[in-house]
Amino acid sequence: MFELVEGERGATLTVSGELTIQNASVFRDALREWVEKSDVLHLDLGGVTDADLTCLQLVCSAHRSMMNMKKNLNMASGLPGSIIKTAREAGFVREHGCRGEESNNCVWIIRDEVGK
Amino acid sequence: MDKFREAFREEAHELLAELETSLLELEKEPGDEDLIGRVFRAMHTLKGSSGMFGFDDIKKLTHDIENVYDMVRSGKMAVNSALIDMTLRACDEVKKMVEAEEDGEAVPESEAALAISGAFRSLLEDFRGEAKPEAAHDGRVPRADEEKKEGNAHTYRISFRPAADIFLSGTNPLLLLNEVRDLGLCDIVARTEQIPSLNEIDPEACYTGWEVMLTSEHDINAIRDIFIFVEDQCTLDIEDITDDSGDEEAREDRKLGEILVKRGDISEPDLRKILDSHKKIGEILVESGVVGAEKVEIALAEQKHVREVKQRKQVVEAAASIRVPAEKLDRLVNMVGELVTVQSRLSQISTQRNDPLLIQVAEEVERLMADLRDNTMSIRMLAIGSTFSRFERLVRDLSAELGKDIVLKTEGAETELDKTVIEKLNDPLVHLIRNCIDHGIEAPAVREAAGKPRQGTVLLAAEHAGAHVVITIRDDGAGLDGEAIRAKAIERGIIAPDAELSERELYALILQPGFSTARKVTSVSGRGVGMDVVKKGIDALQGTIEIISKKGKGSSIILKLPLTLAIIDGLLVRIEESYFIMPLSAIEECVELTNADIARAHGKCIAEIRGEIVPYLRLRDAFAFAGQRPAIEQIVTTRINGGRVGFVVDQVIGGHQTVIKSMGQMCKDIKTVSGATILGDGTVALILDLPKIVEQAEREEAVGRNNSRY
Repeated sequence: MFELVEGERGATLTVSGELTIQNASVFRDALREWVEKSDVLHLDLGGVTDADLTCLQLVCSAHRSMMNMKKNLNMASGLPGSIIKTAREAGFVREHGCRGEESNNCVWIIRDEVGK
Repeated sequence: MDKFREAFREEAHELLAELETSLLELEKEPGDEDLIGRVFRAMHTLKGSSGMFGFDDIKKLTHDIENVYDMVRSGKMAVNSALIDMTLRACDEVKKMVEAEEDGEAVPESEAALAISGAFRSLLEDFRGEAKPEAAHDGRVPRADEEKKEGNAHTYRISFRPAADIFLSGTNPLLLLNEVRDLGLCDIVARTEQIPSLNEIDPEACYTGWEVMLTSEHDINAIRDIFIFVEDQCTLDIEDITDDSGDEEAREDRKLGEILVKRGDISEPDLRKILDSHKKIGEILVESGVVGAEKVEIALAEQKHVREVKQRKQVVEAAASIRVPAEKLDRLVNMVGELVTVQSRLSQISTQRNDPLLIQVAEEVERLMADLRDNTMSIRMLAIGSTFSRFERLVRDLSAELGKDIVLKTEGAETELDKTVIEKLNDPLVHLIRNCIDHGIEAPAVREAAGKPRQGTVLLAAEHAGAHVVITIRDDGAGLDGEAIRAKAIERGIIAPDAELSERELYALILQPGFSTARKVTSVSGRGVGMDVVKKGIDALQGTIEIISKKGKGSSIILKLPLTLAIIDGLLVRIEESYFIMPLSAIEECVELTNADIARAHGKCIAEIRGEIVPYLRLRDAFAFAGQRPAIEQIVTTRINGGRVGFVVDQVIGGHQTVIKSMGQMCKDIKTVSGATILGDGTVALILDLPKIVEQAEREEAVGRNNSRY
């Protein structure tokens, strides 16, 4: 479900399967560990087949944690449809990041999705 | 006030027609919630409007019916045929009440209306009596749509923040949000500011809250009902922010800052201070730390939502129809007709003068005129579906009366036809469908014995074919009995005993006045007037009838009608110095007729055209022109009543957009001419009624034959 590859340009955490409340603790732990260890973390959620609100909250939390530590969290291959769908349902998709200018790389700014 | 009552009457007729259609569909699909909803809404609107315009009796009656359908709608009462019957009878009664008012009669509450009202009330009372014990345990949460305020949209601002432990109770807040979405136009923004860092986060807790902007016709209780099971586990704040005027315009123009002030997120002095700079208000506010980026996002969502509501409203308003009296449309069409004539004069004069400037203007006018004509005509076009839906009731009632099981299927209800044509088509169609039911389709037992399904089918189909509409009435009944028709025609002296007729000609005999092979006269048909009425009706519409039938399999009656009666496509022809218009719909082709052709026919008025012998009529003889016929004439061949007939003229000039002018009372006895038109140079051209010319020629020939016997 979780796989980590360390590269020259930072670590890549690849997540697959269901990211729902059943796996939320494991996901939180994996994120916590690699957010601590990496200056730049690439999060690849392309293989996530199902996501719920806990997943969205954890992604948000990881992003904020890294911003607070002046680190970078990047979404490696864009968000998969499963997460975009939940993000839209939950009203997470937005036009501006929640912390103003410094968060223009907010995970939930999904240009193509806005207005759909 | 009368104008408003008139508007109500028109609306009532529409609602009743819709009710009848929905009820008949509901009878077939008794569990269809959409149909139940349609019936309820139509009844509800009828009640509301009748009350508003002082039709208290209608209001009382519809109120009782609405109560019953409310039970149906909530799933507490089932739909059955008896209920549909009762409701259809009630619709008839309401129709009578509306019509009586139209005629200016005072309308005492009729006994029938009272009886129907009473029947619905007792149905409800009986049901409540039976259902009470169960209802006590029901505990059902009313469905949101039961509290819908029709046509009265409100905008709500909903703040929803579930408790952190809401997931532990198995509640998924996203499902609640989806239910809110179902209520109307909805914008949802998550408030994520409380989501902590990874070190502090409980992965199974809910840190998210939501700000929802909802524009819906449902009332506030419908929204509260969604959250009813989590009300102890959340903070819920619902505010109706609809402008008192019901106008969203002012809200749209409200700037972001004003929204934030109104929401209490910032103070007005802070806003003013910030407005002195030139950056975007959202950026400035966030940078200044006066308000969080998330709150700006929420306010932006509100702004966007209101803008969208307004845009949708504008679209709806733009698409909304207006009611215009039919006479006004008729006048408009007449004026356009006059303009078409004037324009064609202008085109003719410009060509004669050969003035490039004038030709340019004439062409421009011609182009605009064509658009104006098409647009005006399209305004008068109505979908034939409204007429079709009336026949569902006819088929249902008649088949029940005759103990037959018949279903009416329709195709092409969206096909558009000129309003006048649709109105005049009603009677012929009624007769044709009655005939299908009475003579065409057999009794269920007879059908079964013949290996057919017990249920007979009548198909009513319409489709466009060029400038025409083809209407087909097909049944899968016994088909026409050619022998019986022949025998009857001989008995009545319509044909000679040795007459050789094609199948098409034989079937066309049933269109003769007084012709009926029905052995018994029923209340439905058999008096031999039906098909005559059909023929007259269709002739008056410049249409044609074709009958196809197969014994034991069924019959099809195909009506071909022009799209409009105001302007038709015609063929302009000339005899001597007179001009005539032949309706293009009946015309097949034009061929030359030379002296050699005439000689070959040995004096008979027949010509061989594409291997087929076609009889022809010389119009110069029919209209008694004195001059010499030209050496080369033209035969215009037509298809009339299933047969091919040629009309000989001196010259075929070409196609002509013909604005039909009536001939007036003085000429009402001239059957062979159906109207007149004015040509570009002001000359009058008569519009020929080709079937009538053929009939007259046949009559004259028969008289000639009889005279020669003595």
